[in-house]
Amino acid sequence: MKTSKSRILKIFQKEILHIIRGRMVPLLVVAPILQMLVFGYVVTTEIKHISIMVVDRSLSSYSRLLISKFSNVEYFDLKSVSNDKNDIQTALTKGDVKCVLSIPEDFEEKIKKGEKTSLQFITDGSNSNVGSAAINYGSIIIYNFSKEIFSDKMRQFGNIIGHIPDITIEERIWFNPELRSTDTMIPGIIGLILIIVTMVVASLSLVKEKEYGNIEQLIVTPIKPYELLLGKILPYIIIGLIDVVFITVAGILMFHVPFRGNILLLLALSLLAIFVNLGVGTLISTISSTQQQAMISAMFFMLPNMLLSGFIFPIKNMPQIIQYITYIMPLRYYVSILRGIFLKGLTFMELLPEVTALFIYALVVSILALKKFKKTVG
Amino acid sequence: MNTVSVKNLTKFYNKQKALDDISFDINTGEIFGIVGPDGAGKTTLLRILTGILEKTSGKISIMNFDIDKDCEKIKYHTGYMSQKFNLYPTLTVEENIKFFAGIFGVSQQEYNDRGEYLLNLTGLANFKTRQAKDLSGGMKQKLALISTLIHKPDVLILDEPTLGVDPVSRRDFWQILQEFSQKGTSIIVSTSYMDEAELCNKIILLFEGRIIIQGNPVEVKKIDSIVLELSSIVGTQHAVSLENIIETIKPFVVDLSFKGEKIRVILKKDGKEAFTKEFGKLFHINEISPSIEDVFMRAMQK
Repeated sequence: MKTSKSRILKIFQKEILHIIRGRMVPLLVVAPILQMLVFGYVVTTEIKHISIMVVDRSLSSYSRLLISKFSNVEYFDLKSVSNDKNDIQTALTKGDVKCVLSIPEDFEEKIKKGEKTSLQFITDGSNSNVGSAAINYGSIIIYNFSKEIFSDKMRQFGNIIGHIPDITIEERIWFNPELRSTDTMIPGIIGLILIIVTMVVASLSLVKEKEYGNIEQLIVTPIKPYELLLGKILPYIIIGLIDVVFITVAGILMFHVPFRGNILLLLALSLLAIFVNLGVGTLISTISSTQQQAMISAMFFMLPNMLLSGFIFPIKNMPQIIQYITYIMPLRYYVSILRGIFLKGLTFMELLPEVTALFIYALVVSILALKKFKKTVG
Repeated sequence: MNTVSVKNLTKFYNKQKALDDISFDINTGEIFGIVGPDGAGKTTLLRILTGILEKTSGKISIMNFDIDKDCEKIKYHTGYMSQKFNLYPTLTVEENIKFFAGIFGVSQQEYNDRGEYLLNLTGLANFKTRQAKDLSGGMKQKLALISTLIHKPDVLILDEPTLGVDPVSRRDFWQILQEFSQKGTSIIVSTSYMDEAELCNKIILLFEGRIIIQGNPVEVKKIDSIVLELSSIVGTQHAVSLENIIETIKPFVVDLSFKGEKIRVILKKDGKEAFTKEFGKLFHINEISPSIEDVFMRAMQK
């Protein structure tokens, strides 16, 4: 047993030296942080500052009041106000604005008379996300505006008809009250980066031994396959855990992401995810004979995991069949765990379903990997 | 004592026969040469002996351990250096040696003694802290050799160790091998250099997976052929074209090759008289002792 441990240690030392001499430390520690910055700042699913033009043919106090509602929110950027209907065509076609609010001539007149009036809201549908967001925000503003006028009128008659019941929705979003997408993004990024530094890098490093013929030199020594595998992947387990801590701290400091859970629980469950990644990485290394092949296979694993884990796109919005497929994506469980710990402060028991799924995944993949690795090595 | 014993070894790759009924024994301290053209099965044979490949049938024992039962024990007694340089390029000379010492469980005390000795012997002592990737070809080979010798193997297996190494380094390398063989290490070495074959105690010629000649280099050369060296007589050399000469000589000889301005021919034992009679006027004819290369060329023609 003593010699076995010392052999694992030898492989471990060699791998660490290789990582340091190969100048991979900045790559494995700094690059993840940069990646987090990119995702944190760029990949935001909220849409704000939609450019808007208002065609105001009413030129009344009511129309000005309505325009002010649009110019006072961060969802819209009021680009211009015109009173010519023909401007709509040019502005939308040239792409100066994404949407246009058109106020009819008789707007104020009809409101004062208590008659029904309608506004025209035109959006550029070529970017459907922006278009539907604009309609959503726009209708909320107009609805509120109309409700204001309604209650003003009612107040005037309040003395005559008594109290008017009014039901309002008090919106409360828990765990991420401002619906900031960075808050949900950053925990997910940990999952993604772990895949890169553990699965991709470890499988490349294993394939390298094969590509350069080092494996052959090791087969003729008394080393056992599991000793070799353990010694090789141990450094990447450590680097993976360091990265988890780094990104967590950086996310809290730079993006003010809340961290409500237990850091030790996070690390323990991250270890589980690392095992899944390393298992898959090992399997990839056994079916690849060059680093290029390994890289491509790793991409095949990574991409669906990214898209189908709920990391970027909510699983609830996917077609039913695709939703079933998401169950075989290990990242799905890990992302739920990460968000649960970060945003909701969930405990081990509350995360049990995800943990169980991830644990089974880790177990199966590790056993398969060791078996397959034994076959290729010896 | 037999350190290595191989009996009726065969190897198939799918249906393709790679090795056919190979048998040989190697004694303590012997240098055993495996010679043959590319694709003859040299590397396959060595890879089976080291346990990298599995044989199809036959019996192999190394240091009295059966390779089927005690493959793991055998590994402590053998050292293998493959054709490709396969140490770790980013590790230094010393780190590479220590790595393999660690894998074999060599104690610190043993390492100190043996490591220093090997480094001095190979002249790598001054390059201990240099990364393996910055070594010259000859030095890389020596480093690989040290790494396979650090655990004191009884049997050293080398697959074309001097391929692409300069002549001076090659000579150094062989001196080291001879030193170890004198100390009792059995060495199995495959080579395509015929001058290296002459340095072995025993050689086999592999051709298409079969042993076609086996013995020590002196024995092997006692064959039923004679080798003649022909140099042209001044005046005739321009009269007859080279193609013509070759065409007329060919039916009489087993093999023909050029060496500088001379032509080397291998004849059957009884063929000299007839040959001299026919071509005595065209050439100066000199009988020379056959080299191993001649022996092999002759053997492969059969």
